[in-house]
Amino acid sequence: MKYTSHSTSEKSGNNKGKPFSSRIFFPMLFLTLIQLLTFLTVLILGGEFSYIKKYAYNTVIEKTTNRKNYVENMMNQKTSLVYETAKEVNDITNQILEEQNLTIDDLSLNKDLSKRILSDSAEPLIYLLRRNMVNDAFIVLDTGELYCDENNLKKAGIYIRDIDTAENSITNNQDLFMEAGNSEIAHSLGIALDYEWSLHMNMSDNEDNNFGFYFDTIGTARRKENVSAYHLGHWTGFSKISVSAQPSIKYTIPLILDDGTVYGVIGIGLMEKMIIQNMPSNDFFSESACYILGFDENNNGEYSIVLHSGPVFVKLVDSNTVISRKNKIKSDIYDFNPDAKTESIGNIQEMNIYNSGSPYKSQKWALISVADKSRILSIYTSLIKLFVISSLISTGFSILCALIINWRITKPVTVMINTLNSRTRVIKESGLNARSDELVYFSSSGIDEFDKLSEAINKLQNDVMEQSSRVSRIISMVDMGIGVFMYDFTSGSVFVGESLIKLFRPAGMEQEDKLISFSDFHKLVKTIDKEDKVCSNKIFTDSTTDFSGESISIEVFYTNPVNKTARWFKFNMMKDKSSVMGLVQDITKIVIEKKKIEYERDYDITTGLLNRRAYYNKIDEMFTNPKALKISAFIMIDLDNLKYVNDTYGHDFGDDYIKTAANIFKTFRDYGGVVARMSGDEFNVFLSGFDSKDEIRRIIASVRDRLSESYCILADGTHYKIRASGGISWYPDDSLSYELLIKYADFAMYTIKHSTKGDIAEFDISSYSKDAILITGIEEMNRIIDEQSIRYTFQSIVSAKTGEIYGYEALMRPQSDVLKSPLEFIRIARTGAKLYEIERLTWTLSLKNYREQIEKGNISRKSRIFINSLSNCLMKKEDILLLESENRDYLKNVVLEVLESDKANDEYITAKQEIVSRWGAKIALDDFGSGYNSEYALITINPNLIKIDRSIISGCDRDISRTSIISNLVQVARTKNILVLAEGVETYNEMRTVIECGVDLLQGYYLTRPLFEPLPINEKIVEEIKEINRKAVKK
Amino acid sequence: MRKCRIFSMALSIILAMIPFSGCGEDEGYEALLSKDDPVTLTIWHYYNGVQQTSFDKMVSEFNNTVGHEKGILVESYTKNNISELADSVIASVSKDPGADDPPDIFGTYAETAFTIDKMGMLADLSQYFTEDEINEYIDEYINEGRFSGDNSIKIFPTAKSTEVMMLNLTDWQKFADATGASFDDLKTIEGLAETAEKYYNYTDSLTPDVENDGKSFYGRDSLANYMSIGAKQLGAEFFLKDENNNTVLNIDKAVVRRLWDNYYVPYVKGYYTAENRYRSDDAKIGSIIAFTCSTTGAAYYPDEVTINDEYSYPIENIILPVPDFEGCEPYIVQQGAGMSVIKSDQRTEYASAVFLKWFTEEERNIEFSINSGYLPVRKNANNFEKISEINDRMGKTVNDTMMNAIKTAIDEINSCTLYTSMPFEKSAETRDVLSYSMQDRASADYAEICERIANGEKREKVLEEYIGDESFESWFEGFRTSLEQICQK
Repeated sequence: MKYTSHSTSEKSGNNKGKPFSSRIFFPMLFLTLIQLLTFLTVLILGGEFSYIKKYAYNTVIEKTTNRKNYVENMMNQKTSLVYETAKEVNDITNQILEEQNLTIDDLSLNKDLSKRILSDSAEPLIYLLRRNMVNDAFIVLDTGELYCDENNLKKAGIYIRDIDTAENSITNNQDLFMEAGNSEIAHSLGIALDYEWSLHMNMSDNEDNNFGFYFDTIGTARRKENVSAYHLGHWTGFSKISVSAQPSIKYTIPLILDDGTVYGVIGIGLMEKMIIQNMPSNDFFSESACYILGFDENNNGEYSIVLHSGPVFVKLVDSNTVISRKNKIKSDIYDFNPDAKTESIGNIQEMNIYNSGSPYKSQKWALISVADKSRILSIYTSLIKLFVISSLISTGFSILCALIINWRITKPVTVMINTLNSRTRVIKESGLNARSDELVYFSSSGIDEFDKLSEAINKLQNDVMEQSSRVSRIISMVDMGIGVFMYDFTSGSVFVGESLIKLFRPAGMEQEDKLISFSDFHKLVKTIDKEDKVCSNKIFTDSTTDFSGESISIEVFYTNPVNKTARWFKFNMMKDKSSVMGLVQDITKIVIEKKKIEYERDYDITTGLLNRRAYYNKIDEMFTNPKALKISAFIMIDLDNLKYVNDTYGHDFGDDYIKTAANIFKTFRDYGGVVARMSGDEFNVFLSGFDSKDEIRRIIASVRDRLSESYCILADGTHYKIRASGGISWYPDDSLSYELLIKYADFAMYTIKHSTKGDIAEFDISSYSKDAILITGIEEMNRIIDEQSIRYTFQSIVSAKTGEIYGYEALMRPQSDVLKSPLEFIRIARTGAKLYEIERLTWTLSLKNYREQIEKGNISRKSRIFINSLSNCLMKKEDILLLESENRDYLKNVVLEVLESDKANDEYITAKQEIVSRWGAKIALDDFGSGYNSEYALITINPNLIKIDRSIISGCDRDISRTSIISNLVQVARTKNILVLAEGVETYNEMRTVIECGVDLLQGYYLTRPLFEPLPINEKIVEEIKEINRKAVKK
Repeated sequence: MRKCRIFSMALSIILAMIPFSGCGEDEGYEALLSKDDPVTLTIWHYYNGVQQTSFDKMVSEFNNTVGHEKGILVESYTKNNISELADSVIASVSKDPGADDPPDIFGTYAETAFTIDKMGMLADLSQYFTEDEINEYIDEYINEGRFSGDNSIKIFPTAKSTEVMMLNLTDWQKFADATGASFDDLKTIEGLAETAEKYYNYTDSLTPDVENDGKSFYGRDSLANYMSIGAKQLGAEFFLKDENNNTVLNIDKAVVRRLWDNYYVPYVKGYYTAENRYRSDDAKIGSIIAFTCSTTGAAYYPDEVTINDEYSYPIENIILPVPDFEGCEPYIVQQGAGMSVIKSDQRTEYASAVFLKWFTEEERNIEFSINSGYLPVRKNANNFEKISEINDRMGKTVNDTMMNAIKTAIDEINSCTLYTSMPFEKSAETRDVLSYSMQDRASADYAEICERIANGEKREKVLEEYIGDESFESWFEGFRTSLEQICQK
């Protein structure tokens, strides 16, 4: 993000890019125009247009020339054989004349001569017809007036016609018709007579110069005497020899004898169909033109129409049409009808059908094409039209193409840009609901490169997104109340991770990654950060200063206005050049946990009051500012009868009792008091900052009143009144030290408790100095009992014979700074009526410690355990059962020490003896010899073992009376099978003496001290014991 | 999707309907033609002389009018006679080496069409005509083209002809006056022969100094028609169909003998002749005064007889019905080829049909008839009053003889049974035999007889040799063998 935004802004700033349109569209347009221009230039310079026009004309000229050549060839071909046949006929004539000795002049006198000539010439004539493939073949002899009648000019002749020259009858002359001539000739040749057959050539019908072929030819021949017949061949236009016969154009050669006598003509005829075959009407595309066989007889440049082909002729040629070369259009193209609507243009191709020597040279035959100018040039005009249209189309198309390409190429880019822009706009517009994980997807552009580009961008996005969303996802997955955001200074947008939104839970905002503007982010943060600590931080506001790497941590407390739940957030932000990365932690749980721990640490669970420790801390803290204390008071309150309630109704009701009281004590808080539960039934209140003691007294009085009115309902439904005793000490009057003040208050309370109970007394320093210890001792004893903070040390009891350990005496060691001595502990216990508790604890705890030591391996399993039992205490049955069940394996090891100093209570002893005997245990008479009725005790108790008091043992080695007592005792004991134990053996001599006196067991500091972790007996001492015994035996 | 399907269905239905609708109304086919891209049609016909000229004139008219408008260009070529035409067509369709490309339209008799159709090369013309149009043509003519049995029309009638007998009334009158011969004598073939004999004797008697210079009275253009119509009249057609529709040869010797007796015998006796190409030619030079020929020959009927350089005279003609065998059913030949169209593409076929339709339009058909001697093919056109009316309108360009011939022919058609020999593959060949076998024998024998008589032999004696049974038998064997060989091939 940072990179792209930087680079694009740089680029757009430095490099004014041109739009695609100018990069693609205009060059393409330019290219098209250049192309068009080039095309046009080439066409014009290359003369393509004029060439096409010329080509159109040339096509006409070419076709006309071609057709002219066809017709010309055809006509020339047909002529050659005529001359040959003429010569043949001349030969025949000469022969006949010779045979019959006639002259040619006889033709007009002798019918037989002409008949004979024609008859003999018939075959060559048919040959000419067939060979030459002409329609007509004829001979007309100048028979003068021989055959004429009154009305008709008739000449002898033969005229044979073949309508279809292409099809020659295979066998005979079936396809031939005789138009004129002797029927005998027809008969002999198998030729049919045509329907207008005549015996002779009737030349009288000479309208239309029908017989010009004869008269002109023969006339010219006679005028040009010296010209060879070969040059006198003469083409004449269509003519027919009978009324309804089919006309033909004819080529006629005069029949000239060697002497130059012209006696007739021979000729051929070509019918229309035959000529037209060579100038077909469909020669031109869509019959846009037709051919005309023209004849310029007078050589005046105007051609008369001999024959034309094609229906289009009617359209192209009318009465005004003059076929001449007058109106030249281009090269050989002439306009024949300049005034008419349809411009008839065409080409005139003169045919060379006469050789140079021909007198008919001046008669021009030509093949003429007549065409509709517009149709001939239709290709040219339509080409120009086409060119213009196609140019327009191609230009338009090119522009369109350019536009399309431009659009196609620009579109994906524009789309990409728009997509990106809209993305930014969406962020700005949609505010808090903008999603940041919405990838900017580029739809396929259809262009590979762009697709690859967008793919790359998508991939990049994906990678970035995936990475960030992966982190984001991990964060949200972990659901550990962490949210992330990143503020980008340059874009002013803030990436807000889904996790953060989850964290803040703003109303109406989707939980997904978003990219939002900073102001929106500010709003978002402000929902939880009411004090605006975060966003106003200079880490955001000061973008100029390089904070790089600096990190800031802000904790924000937030209370949900709806459900009043409190939440804590911790913002950890780190600045990095142009962005601020933020991690927001929901530390509510941690805080609550901490608070809870603190609470639990500082507050009493049952009452919700401060506990002792917290109370001291609080007081300690308050005493750091003594001025504020002004006149203050410590009030120590002890609930009366708690023990009774506990014992009678159970602890639950005891707790109720406490709670009810505590709730009343809480009233002190209203006056700024600090209230704490110090221990079981002890409460302490510190009221501070008052101006007079009376103020405090009034408060205390009101509380006391309330207390006196309060009660708790017990199991049996009785309303049990809360009663408490209290003591007050004054600050600063009684002391400046709160420790002392508390002590004093305590003392004041105890004083009351031990006197009137249920009242509150003020501290009196004089009474305090008197009763302090006792009061403190009892308190301590109670604590020790409550907390069972008694441990037992074990002092070895060693066999006086072998030095082996016989057992251990468990010795009480109260764990207290005040009551260290067990004796004092017991004394206080006795005053506090706690002896049973002591007895029970002694039994349970000593055995417990014993078991522990066995388990540790410090004590052998067989070693006995000497437990000091209070003689005037008897364990309750259930306690004994519990004890038995706990110590089943070790009961027989128990040696119950009974104090001889206590007044013996037979019932208790008997009960104990029963227990001991049931267990298989032993009973020992402790401190024997120190009391007044040792012997009595020995008798009544009947112990298994007696422990000689240390007062007897001590110094026994130097006092013979003591020795004798011991010796006597040993003797008495032996009689009763009682083991004798010497207590308090502290020196070697004492040990030696007692051993010598015959005691069984030794105990004392010389052997071992009492130890929590018993040690084996020193080897040296064991040796000494053995040595003493050896010496004693010797004695 | 669904719309698309419905649209395409509708489209395909419309497309499928186009050819059908075209059948009925021509518009579909009409679209095939283009003025700018004309179809060139080649027509091969066997017309000659006047018929060819008339036909070409028609073709040219067509090319300049309807053809030009519609883009059809017709080129016509003659093949001289029907057998050459048939050979050419078969050769071209068979793509024989050296043969021309097949024509688009060709004139044909049934047998050739039959052959070409068997090669699958004939177009069915019925699709280009409506039923009403077809009904305007004489049923027999149309039916002739329906030989393939599937109601298709393979030959389209364009012009028909039959035979008439022309009589040089000028010379007949002299003869009749002298001998008492009457037209009634010419009603039967037998009567004709007798009359011919009378005429021979009469003319012979005109020059008492010259022996045996009697003139022939009669000639016949088509021996084939004589043979087959005669056989038909005499009750023994040469070709019959068996139950399997195969053609079987049926030669009744007695019938053939009667045919022989009534042509060969008068011929060798000099009563009949066939000198020139056509009998009309013979009549023109006065060799005969009566002849049977096709109505199409009417244009050639002479109005002048040219005896020699010196002598010629105008004559009057009378057109008589063709004589029948005595006591037989009057059958007259129905001849004249129709036009068949070679199977190609619809465009060409349709263009051909357009031409044929144009060519047989009532007035044009009549015009062609008047010019050529052919008879119209439309029912309405076979009405002499209508024909003469059109002739009047055309400016009476034809002579009376032609009109008379047409009149007689139409009368014949109305009074006699039209007969045309049944086509089969060998029709053309057998027709040649019928045409030439007896004629050639007669011509040869007559020449022989003339020579022998010129050499001084006695006419009667010589004749006996030729008119006897022996002569017939020898010819008959040859005749029968020829036919049998053809049919067995």
